Amino acid sequence: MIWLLLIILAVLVLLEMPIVFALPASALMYLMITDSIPPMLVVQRVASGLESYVLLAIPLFIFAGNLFNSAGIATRIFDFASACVGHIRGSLAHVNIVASVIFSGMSGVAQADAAGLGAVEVREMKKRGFSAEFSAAITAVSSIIGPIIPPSGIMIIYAVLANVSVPDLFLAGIVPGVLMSFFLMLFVYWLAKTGRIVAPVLPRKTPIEIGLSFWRALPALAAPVFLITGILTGFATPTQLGALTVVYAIFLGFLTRDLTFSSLWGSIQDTVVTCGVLVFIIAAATPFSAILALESVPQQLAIVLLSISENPLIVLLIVNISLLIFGMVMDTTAILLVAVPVLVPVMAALGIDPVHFGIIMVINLLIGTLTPPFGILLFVMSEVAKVEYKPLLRQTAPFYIPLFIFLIVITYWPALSLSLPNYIFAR
Amino acid sequence: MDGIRKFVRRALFRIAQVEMIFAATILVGIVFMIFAQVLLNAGLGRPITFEQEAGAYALVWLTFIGASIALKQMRHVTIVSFVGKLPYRLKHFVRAIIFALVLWTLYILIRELSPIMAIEGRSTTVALPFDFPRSYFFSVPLMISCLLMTLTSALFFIEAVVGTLSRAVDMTLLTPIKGEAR
Repeated sequence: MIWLLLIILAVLVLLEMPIVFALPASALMYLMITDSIPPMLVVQRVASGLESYVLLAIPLFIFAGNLFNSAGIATRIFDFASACVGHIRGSLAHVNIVASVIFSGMSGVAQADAAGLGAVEVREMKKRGFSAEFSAAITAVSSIIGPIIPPSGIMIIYAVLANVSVPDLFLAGIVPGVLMSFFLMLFVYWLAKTGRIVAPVLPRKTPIEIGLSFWRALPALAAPVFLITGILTGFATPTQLGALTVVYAIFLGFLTRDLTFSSLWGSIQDTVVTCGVLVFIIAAATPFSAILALESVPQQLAIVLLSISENPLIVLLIVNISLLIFGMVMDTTAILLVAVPVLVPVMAALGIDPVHFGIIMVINLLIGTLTPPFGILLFVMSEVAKVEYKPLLRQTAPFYIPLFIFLIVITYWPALSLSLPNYIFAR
Repeated sequence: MDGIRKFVRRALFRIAQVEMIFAATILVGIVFMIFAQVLLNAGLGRPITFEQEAGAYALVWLTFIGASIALKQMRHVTIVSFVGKLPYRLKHFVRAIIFALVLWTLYILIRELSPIMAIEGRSTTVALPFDFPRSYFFSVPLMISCLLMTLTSALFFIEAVVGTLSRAVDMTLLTPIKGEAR
């Protein structure tokens, strides 16, 4: 009967019911129809599903990202990245990627990168002769680096659901995040070299100019360093580091006079609403997840997957393809909430490390935010850059090649994800 | 009818302002509390013992109030499919069905929450300086959020019905509640 639950959910989502209501509505309808479990048992979990100190890191990192955006940090980061890599063939497209890598150390959600730093990037790229569509496309693609490099809202949710350590996941994301940026830069270089994009190159900056832009960006660059150091030394928990980053961003914003009380209030308002959107889905999905668990779906799925193959490589391939398909039609957090409790036990049975699987899942779902028909980042960038959806999609499509190759590399080379946490925590 | 609708929108906007001040206070409070905890722990070796418990409870309130504001601003994640492309009245008809289902979901949640509140109220907080019933931090904020979202959803449902029945196109229907002109 579990198919009934999925069909109801699919119909409600297609009728454009907000996901936060579609998840509990489908669960409650299922319970009414099947009369299997008293609704009180699942409703009870809605509020208690949020009883987690770790989850508190999500609004704090969102707040920090909003503050850095309000405090004009994006421009300083962009200028520094421009001084470093603007002269390479591909020019500002490389700058866009490098700036995203730096900004990813401060913000936990891709949308903050796309909407905040993205606005600066698109404006500068258009000024330098890049097409608006390509500028928006590369910004959308590079913004998914954000949630791979710590801090990351999506990783925190995965960590809570899969019961794995947040610092482990954060550290496991660093190498893949940097590697992804190399993949994208190589691809941009190839696009520029073969004349597929018009990318006017900037003049090479002198060491003094680079030094000056570094000095201006230094306060912003200190944030990710401070965060990683905090995680490595165990000085504070990820949640505490989130709060410290917020305090640092406020201090920095007022020190540089880029942050006003008005923009601070704007950041607070945006954080409250984003938290209400993002974290509330976790609570709203608990009845749905509870039914999946009570109906033994993870066990049934394990039997089905293992009947196809007991080879972890093949199972991972099947899971990757399934997640990519779901990522095209569903919200990232919603998939995470439904899929993690189902898939993590199966992966454990196959001997796949839950931290490694977390990185695979995060990357996979982030690619989903760039794929049609419901790629959220495409909608965000279409709005930010004021471009049509279809031309934007046409410019984004070639980037699926390096992203899929990257996903395969991360899937079948666990050491890329696990080496750093294993080395740091001496396992 | 239009006057009543605008009055309700203005009232909901005022409620949203109060919700925002409340949620903003919680958010700022969380930051200060955790910052103080780190300073006290690192500097004096005297951590705030209730920081983790209070932080988790604050997150629940922040999320549920934020969700209510997000509904008023129509910011909840929705997969945009074909509904927006339907003819005006049919589109509003589909939206009316959706908001009726949202109201039904909220009704079930509110109905089931009443006994849960009583059960949760029997246990109290662990580390906070004062003993509060645990329901204050779980079922009560959820109940308040559900009630507030019911008000908003009822307005959107009525607007969807108005759009379904009216012949003239009204672009002010089913728009985010962000301060209404008198």
